[in-house]
Amino acid sequence: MREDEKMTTPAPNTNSGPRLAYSAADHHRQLQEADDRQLLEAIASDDEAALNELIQRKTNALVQLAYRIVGDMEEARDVVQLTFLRIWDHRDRFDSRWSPNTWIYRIATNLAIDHLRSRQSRQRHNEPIRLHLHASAAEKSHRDLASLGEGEVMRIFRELSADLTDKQRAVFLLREVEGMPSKEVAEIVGCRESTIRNHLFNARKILRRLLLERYPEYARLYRGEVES
Amino acid sequence: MSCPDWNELIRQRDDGADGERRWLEALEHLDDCGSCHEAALAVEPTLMFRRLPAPEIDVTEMQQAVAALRRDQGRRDRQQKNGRRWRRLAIAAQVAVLVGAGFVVRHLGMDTQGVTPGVDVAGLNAPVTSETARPSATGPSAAGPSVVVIDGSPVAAGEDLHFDIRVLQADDASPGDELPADIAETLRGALRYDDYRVLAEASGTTRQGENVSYKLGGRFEVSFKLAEAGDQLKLDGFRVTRQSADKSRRLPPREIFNATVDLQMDEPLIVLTDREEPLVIAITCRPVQEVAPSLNDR
Repeated sequence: MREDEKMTTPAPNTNSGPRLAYSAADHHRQLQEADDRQLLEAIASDDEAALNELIQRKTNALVQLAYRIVGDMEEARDVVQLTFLRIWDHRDRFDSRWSPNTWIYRIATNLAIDHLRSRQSRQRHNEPIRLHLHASAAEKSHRDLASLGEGEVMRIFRELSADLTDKQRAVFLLREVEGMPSKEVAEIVGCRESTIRNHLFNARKILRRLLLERYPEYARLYRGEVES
Repeated sequence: MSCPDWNELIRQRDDGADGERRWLEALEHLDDCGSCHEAALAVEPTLMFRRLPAPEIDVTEMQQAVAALRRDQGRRDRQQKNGRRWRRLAIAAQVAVLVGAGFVVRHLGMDTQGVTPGVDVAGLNAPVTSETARPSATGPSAAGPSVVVIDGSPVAAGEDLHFDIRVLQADDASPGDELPADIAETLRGALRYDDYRVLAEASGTTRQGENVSYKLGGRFEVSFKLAEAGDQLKLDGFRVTRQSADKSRRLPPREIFNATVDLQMDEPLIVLTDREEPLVIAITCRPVQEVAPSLNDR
């Protein structure tokens, strides 16, 4: 035996009683009962099981948001994967005074916007889609909103929102579709509340105008501006 | 919430917290109220986008994908960090492996043909398998082999299984009698050492599908998941780590062994984990009443 091994090898602990040091099943149960803040704190202490629990809770909501922002399911999945990776990498940066949801959505929204910008810089392919969809919608002018499927709503949103800035799109989705208060949207997007209201006002205005121009059959109920 | 006046809501929706709160409540109401649909779209056609799809995906796939990304990123970080160092050590490592392999053959007198490179599996009574083995070097030692022995009783799926785990060291200089005679006999037959002493031990129970981790003697940690129970046991992710003896350097635990292990009752398995250090893991699984003395009886 090496000399240093002799000095440090622990003595046999034959007197120690049975001791289960750790049970993943018990730990998993604890994580399931923890709130989001406790999960993020556990993640901050390198708990990989807590990350898995967070993925379990947040995946579908984040994929939904990312899909609506980037308009493509595979890309949305990539964005959400990167979101969880970023949460893990920056786990020591989460401040427990923050809202966990706001912090998570902020990461996801920023990554989705970055993804959009990167895609737009790679290829500007909105025009062919827009023309195709416009023609397609014109052919189906007899259809009304009630018969419109979710997939088609998504295609129309994707087409019309191409005229919005990335932040206008994100703000519109977070506030009008996800139903988040402006204060939270401001924290997620990193703007003041007054800026959020401006983004929202402009986003609605552009979408309304484009909808009336390109898909009047779906806006036939509209009675005109009501806003003061 | 009863159906709201959408004209009024539209005027007030961006006027302060109250207007916004009522607007957001009305949006939730709209999703479930057929009669509000026309009134709402008449004042705000963009509300049609409340019907954007809400896709759902397989969460398990997401967990696996994130885990793979983390592994990949960790690998890249390590490669970047160790780039130059790796080149400097490459030749030295090759030399060490050659010397280490010769040492094991000479020291333990075992045939190493026909087994996973880097891991020697000696099934003494029955064939056993070891998959995805990733042994890691822990440095040369002049000591005899250290041994981890697991004794378990056969159980049906869903029943608790009791495990006694021992980390042993072959040591002719300090013979001890802590080790059950049949295990010692098995080891004597496999290795050229007569005596083994217990470095650390622990006990616990687990059941099929549960991950467990046992800390032994402050330096060793053994973890695994009992993937299959019955006459044949399968331990997924059977991993042994050892904490550095030098606590002042705060080194992370080193992985000694990591593999999926198939066990049959009463059929001992010995795995030589490293060619540089004669560290041995021996796993024996048998009915608990045949293991005498049991740790719990001490």
